[in-house]
Amino acid sequence: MIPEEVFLPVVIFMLVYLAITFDLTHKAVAALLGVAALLIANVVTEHQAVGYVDFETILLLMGMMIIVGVLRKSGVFTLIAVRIAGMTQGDPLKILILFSLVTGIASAFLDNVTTVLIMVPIVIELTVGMGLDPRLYVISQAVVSNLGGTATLIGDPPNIIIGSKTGLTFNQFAVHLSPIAAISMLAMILYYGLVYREKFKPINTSLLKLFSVQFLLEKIRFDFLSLDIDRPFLMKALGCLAAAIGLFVLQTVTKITPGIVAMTVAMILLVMTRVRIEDMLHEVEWGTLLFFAGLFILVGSLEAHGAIRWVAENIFLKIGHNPYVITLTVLWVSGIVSGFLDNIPFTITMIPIVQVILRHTPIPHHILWWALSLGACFGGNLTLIGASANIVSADMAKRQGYEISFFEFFKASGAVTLISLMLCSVYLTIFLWASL
Amino acid sequence: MKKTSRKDMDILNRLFREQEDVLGSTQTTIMALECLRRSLRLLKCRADEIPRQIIEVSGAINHTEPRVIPLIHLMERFESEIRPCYGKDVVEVRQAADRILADNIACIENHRRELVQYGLSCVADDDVIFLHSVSSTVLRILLEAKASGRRFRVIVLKQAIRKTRQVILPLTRAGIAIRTVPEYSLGHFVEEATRFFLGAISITQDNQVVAAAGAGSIVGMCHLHHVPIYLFVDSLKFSHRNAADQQIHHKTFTRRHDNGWRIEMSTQSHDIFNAALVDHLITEMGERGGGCGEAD
Repeated sequence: MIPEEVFLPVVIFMLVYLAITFDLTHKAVAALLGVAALLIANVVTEHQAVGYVDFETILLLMGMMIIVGVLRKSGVFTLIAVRIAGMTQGDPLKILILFSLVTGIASAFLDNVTTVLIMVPIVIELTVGMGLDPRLYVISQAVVSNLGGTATLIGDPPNIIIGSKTGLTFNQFAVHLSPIAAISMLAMILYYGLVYREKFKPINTSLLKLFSVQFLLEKIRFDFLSLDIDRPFLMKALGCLAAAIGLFVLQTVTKITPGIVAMTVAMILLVMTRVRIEDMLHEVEWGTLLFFAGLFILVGSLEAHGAIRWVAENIFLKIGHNPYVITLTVLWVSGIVSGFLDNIPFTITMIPIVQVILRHTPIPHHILWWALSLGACFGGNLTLIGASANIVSADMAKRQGYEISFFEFFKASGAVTLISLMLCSVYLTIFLWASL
Repeated sequence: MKKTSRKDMDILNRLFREQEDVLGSTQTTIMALECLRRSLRLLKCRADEIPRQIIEVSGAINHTEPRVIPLIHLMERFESEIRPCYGKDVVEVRQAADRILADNIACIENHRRELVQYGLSCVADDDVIFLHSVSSTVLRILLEAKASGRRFRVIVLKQAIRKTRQVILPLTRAGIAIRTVPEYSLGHFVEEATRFFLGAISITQDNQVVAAAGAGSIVGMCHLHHVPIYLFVDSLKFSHRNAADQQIHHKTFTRRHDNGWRIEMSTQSHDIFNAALVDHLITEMGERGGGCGEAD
């Protein structure tokens, strides 16, 4: 039986989740309304509420948003994207491969939405200019950004949350997740290259097509590079990003958490580049940060009232004590749920559940956390609504007149998600077998 | 000859128009020839397929909207010079094509250099020069005039920011005094101006100038107020055809406004005006009589 005092926080949480899922209001507004309801109903006090907020996550997100904002201002991403466009020489397969690789790698260090915001416009310009349908390319960019973002602590919000709550370091994420992220990216490229090979026929047998593409590449170079690149500014911004990543890597030596590193480097960057803080504060997604804060409070109250423990004991622990079954269940449940629901509240909710599971069935080498991370991040590729990068990419394509429906996205991404989750299953099974 | 598909032509037309808007027709021609050189290097086909491929590209260029006359003339020259090489192996044909295209590029660049030299003599101290659309020749004339120490200022008549930006930026970087005004405010400044400089995409057989959209109104206004109009054109831009054959791109579309109000708009990519309105027609061979010279 569910304890009575749990009803109210559970109902409030479910209502917030429904509001987010069906887009009834902005998700930050939904989360904070939920918090207000908890406070008014005296389920939590203000001090308890503040205590539930994971400020390490908030600082890391905010710091990275500022660093990425300054970097965007420097034009470095546009420079890279235009260079990549030139390297493809208009070959459809090279466009898929090169842009996927660059987007995947960039997503490991920048947030996925920023990465697609930079890469997708150039991909659309290039493919439309060549007379190709850009939709498959846009979908591949969204998918690969979610895959690549899984590789590091800072690449995707679920990883930031898991890292902060569990103390797992940047290096641990990189070592354990980047191989499977890389393999999944390659699998995606192979899948699209084979299944959609008709769409990737080379153009180098037609002088007219080559001529049009060369002209288009010149136009893209001209359009995107007619901005002035301030090289000293660019070097400072890149230097600070490199310093931040370096300090993430050295976390076990310096004992400085990623959140503090990110905020400190962000502030140093603002001093070095003399960018106005008011301008950079526009780059901070306050809605996202408030959403996170609200969710931490909502889930914290669930945890404090025993709801999480109840779910863990009455649902997840019922699957038994077999570590393989538990690991694969967490992976696939996370993967499928994240395909339909926002993976951030899901991850925040699952963390205490996983902690309960681990108390009952210790699984070594943090494998269960990797299962949660892989499921939550890769699962976001399942549907159009599974991840913010998907929605943003589809929106950009729609504005150019190329609408991507839910079904179209699923047709292109569903199989890739399945393949990537199967690869994760094999990876985690081997990892677990080697650890036990 | 394989007819270029409508879709491929639409793509090419759009690319040419967009580049010509921000670079001018001379620079667009140079860019197109460089792109053709690169394309020939990347092309994978048998030697006997090359003539057909070149004809296909040439045919597509001949049908762009509008016609880029200097490019068409240079493509005609390229085709006639490469013809003797057909039948040789792929490598030889490619090398010959590369050499001929390089020569064509050098030819138009030389013409531009010579035109700029003649144009320098058209800039005097204390001049106030109207500028409107992008012309690489006109911009170089002004940059060279500034570098040679002449004192003048420029009034830029603003059109779409994407185009005007390409006029303003190089002048600003060179330290030339600029004032930017909307093109519809021309009437307030026309008494100040001492000259109006412009380029063109072509001069037709029937004595019409094909120039950037909006140029016609400015020419008319300057003519009324006796502001000398200087048109700088390469002789390659003299067309064998009439104005009606220049394939100006027409577009009709519906513009929607926030309050639900819709208007049907018709636009043309370029203006056409009588060359007789031009006071000074300058080519790479010097100044011609007022108006159009003989077509090549």
